[in-house]
Amino acid sequence: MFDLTKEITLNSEKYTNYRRLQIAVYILAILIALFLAYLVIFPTQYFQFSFPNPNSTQNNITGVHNSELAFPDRGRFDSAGNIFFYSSLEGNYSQANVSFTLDKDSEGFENGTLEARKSYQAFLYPEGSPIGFKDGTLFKNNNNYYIVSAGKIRKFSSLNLVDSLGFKKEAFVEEDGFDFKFSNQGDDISGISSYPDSSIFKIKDDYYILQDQKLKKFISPAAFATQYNANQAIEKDNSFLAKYPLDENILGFRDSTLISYGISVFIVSSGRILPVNNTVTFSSMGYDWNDVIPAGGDEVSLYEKDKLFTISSPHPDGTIMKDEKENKWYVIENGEKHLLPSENIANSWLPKGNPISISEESLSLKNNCSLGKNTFSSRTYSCDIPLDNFKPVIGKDYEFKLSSDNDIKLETINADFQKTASWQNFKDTVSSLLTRVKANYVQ
Amino acid sequence: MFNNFFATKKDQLMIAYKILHDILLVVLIFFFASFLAEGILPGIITNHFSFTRVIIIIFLNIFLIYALGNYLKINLKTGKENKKTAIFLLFILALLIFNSLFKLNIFLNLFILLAVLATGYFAYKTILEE
Repeated sequence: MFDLTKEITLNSEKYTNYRRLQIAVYILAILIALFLAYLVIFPTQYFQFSFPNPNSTQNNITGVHNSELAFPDRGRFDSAGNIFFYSSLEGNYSQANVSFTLDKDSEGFENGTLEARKSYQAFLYPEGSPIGFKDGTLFKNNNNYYIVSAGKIRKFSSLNLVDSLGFKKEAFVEEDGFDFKFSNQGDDISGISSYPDSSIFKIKDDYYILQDQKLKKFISPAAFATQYNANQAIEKDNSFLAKYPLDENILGFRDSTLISYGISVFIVSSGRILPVNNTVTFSSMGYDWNDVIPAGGDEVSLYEKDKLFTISSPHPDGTIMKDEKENKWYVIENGEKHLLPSENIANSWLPKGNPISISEESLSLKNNCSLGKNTFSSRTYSCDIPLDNFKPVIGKDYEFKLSSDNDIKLETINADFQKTASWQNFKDTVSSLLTRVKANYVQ
Repeated sequence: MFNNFFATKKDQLMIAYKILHDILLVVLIFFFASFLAEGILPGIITNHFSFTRVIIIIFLNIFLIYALGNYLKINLKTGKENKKTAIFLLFILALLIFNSLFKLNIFLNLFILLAVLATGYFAYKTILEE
């Protein structure tokens, strides 16, 4: 074995001692390296939340709320309600050890239980009423032609009127009448003197939509394409701009569109753009690299840059989700998910790009455990909740629901996600690492 | 008896001095390997432990070697410059810089890389060479 300090000589007895110690150091180093490899391959992810310091940057448990969707002030919740919280992480884990430390003034848990389910946080939102066609959609039914104008379905009085106004017949989607009930009915369109609101125009290479009888311009054809199909637009010349006043506001990309500028990817959300912090977040959210639209400086400058979009962020408003198995579509709006009752309606909201895949089964697949007092801390209660059966479930968010038969005041929540050492978990981790390397270098 | 005690203690410190070199080698290999892994997959190492700790261990180790060397009046001859190792380390350094700028335009990446290496070379010539 090598000696790094040959110049320093020792007598044979001491030299033997040194050699023994040297072997021990290298064996210890190998053991530490193996242990670190174990930590990387079978990792444990730690999550926490402190109620006395709810704004601490150390808090990585998100979305803490009670049954009234409010933040539980100083960790208080009563027996009639529950506390919900989320942990977001990439990959599959074997179990989560969740522990709750109670405030020193709080009673202990009586029949404290914890329930977990897995999906995307936005898909776990409460369900709102179904949503009908998007404004500007053109469809036909039994040779009657319709436009969805300012939230109402309006019928063209005749086919000739459709032609006279310049609408392209191929832009009208065939509809069986089922979708009518999800939008209000408006007056019929009978005159050619003016266009109904939500009519779309193409003047030279620019696209406009009529809103409140004002023409609103789209920032670019690429932005328009995220909202409507090109064949929905009536082609006009420049003189048409004199017929309607121009709205000073400019329309951009559809909410939840992915755009790239330089080496960054952003998500459009309610007039702002959220920079995606890394490729792990991007892939964990279920996004597809093919849906990223390169944007120019003028398009990006339309938006205000907002905080980082991390793996803990829920999908923003406007996100379209689809359960492939059930063929059901949803849109996320204002903290609710809304059913899009048909494929036609869904296509009117998502003319281009892929929806986020979800699984409705994830809503009903739940695991639970009963909280027990910890041996070494009288104020800490915990339980291990198995997660193995969540492996096939699409999503990166674990929603936890805490219940108790008595009023409780919490101080901290800790959740440790553990991956047990198994051949399957080893393969999963290696596969995930390779995917991440590929995402870093190929995209 | 006291002479024997100090002689024994000196031998033990000699062994400690030699072992500290081995520990330094192990920690540097670990630091080097971790740095490469972190360059390829950001977060793979730092999610589990911080590089700051490793750097503190390295500096502590070097300080102990220095202090013990002074105490034991060890004066090791300065070894010859190991050009092969230096070239290998420079190659790895270049790869790490190239990797960190991977998303940039490849020509801009190569230009920055050459500029960094040239700056490093001239800084070395100015500061370290007589």
